[in-house]
Amino acid sequence: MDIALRTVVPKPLEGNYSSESIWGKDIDFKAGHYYLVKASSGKGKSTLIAYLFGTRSDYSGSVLLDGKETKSFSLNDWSALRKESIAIVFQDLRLFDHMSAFENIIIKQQLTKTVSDEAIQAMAKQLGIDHLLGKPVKYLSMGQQQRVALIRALVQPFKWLLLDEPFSHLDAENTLKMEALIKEVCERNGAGLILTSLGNGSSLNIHSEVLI
Amino acid sequence: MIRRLILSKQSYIQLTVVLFGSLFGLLMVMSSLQIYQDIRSIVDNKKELISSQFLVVNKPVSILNTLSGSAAVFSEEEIEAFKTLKAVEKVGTFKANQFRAQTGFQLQDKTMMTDMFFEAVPDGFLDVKVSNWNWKPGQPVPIILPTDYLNLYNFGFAPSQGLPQISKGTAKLAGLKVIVSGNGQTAEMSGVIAGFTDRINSILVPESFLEETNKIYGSYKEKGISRLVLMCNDPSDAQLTEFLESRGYETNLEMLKNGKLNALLKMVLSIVLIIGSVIVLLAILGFVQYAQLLISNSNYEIRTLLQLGYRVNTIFKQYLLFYIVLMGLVFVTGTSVLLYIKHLINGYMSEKNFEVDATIDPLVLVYGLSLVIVFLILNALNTFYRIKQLAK
Repeated sequence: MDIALRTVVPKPLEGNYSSESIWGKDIDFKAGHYYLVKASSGKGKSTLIAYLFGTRSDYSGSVLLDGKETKSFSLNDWSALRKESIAIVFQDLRLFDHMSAFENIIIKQQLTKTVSDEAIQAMAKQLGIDHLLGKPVKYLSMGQQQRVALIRALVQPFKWLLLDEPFSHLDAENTLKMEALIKEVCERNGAGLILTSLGNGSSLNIHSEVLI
Repeated sequence: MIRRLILSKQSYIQLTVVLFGSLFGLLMVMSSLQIYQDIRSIVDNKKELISSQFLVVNKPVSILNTLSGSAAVFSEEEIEAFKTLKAVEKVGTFKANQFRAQTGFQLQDKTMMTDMFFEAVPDGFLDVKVSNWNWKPGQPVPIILPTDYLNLYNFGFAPSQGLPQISKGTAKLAGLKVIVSGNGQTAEMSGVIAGFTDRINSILVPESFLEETNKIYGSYKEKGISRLVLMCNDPSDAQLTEFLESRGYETNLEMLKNGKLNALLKMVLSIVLIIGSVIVLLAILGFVQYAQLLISNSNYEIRTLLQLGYRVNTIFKQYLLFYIVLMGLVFVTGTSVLLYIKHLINGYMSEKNFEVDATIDPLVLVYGLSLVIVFLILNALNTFYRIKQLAK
């Protein structure tokens, strides 16, 4: 599944964006490729993710998925895409606070039953949070919550993984562990990756960097 | 799990208040309807022989009639005069037997036979449904008796003679013997009590029976028409009342009273029904508010579930199911309480010697259920709309 931006300009940024940024240009995200979206804060990284994920549509121009105009998608079209084709880790994670880490993951897993409970355990172990799965999310640190959110994103089939600053609260060691898992699952799915980040460092084999 | 997620953020106190409100409103509407039906069945005497739309009129009997031996009968002109009244739709005449009639029944080892008279009114003046009222030769003769006759037997005759008392139901099961004689012929037939009436002090048989038997056994002279039955669109009409008074005719006044009582009762019960409906309306509003709060309390959860790939319908179904369970609970509880209320009413009514249906009128249940369904549909539409708003 290819993603294409055609002269997309966010309404809040109209007439107020740098000529080097992606806004107003034709940009293609090719299926299976890894992209790093870089910018300082306030330039619209999360906005881009929201446009690609269909949670916002306050822009001119068009966002195309496999050549189809996303503004014409129905609610059910988006549900199907989010269930089967586009996985995401939100910048604000959007976990259910009073549920346990495991329940947070299961609620996503129930939709497609792509992954077994054991596989979830294994991923949690890989990220070093397997002992925290039974705890309510509100008792976990931000870094731990980021890892729960990542596992939740990975327990579905997907063609694209959208990661909105997923490592912001992690140390270098844990970032590496997470990147390894991301790479592994993306390869298994043959999926592309769009990662937004403040910095550069990444052990992922980024195909191209995009500046906002 | 998603049910727990989206329904856990609610105030159970609020839920309880809303449920009690709905229950109370529903109960108020249903029980006032039920009481209305019960009382109407007594006052309107739907089950009695002649409804309050019918008026029985006779001339007063004076000492002159006794002395001269002439009956107080209506002349043709007098009958025609009734037909000119606005309130009167139809005038029916009572037919009488013109032969000797005896009826009786076997009770234990006693056979009780007594001389009788029969009267008939045209079929259109009966609003009681008696299945075998169309008599044909060879069939048992259906007879409608005044309730007073049964009371006379039950409270006077039976205790003094050491005989068992008989309920209306049992009386209808008893086989009667009917002996008609005249013109030198006698015939024995079987009869059956088809119903009781408080309204007409007469022993009524089908008109077809009297026509047939008068032809064969009729030996008495026709005495003239002493009683009329009027079909009225409004028995309490002023013109009619004045007409009856000016001519000194006697009527079964009770019916006139009932007409007014009925109107009064209808008004009182309509007020109760209106208040009940207002409560139901408030309950609906309360429930809609509760449902909106339930959703806004779970805004974050619903929106996030939608972003995880759950469909609007999936989430909507959880709410719908929840509301169906709640409303089902309200309806079942309401019906149970209504059954209890009905039980109390029945006790009170039978104490006062009124006969009412033992069960809840199905119409009341249908009305209650449709209220609940309207309630559900309104809430479902509102909820669906709200969830869809969150998806955008």
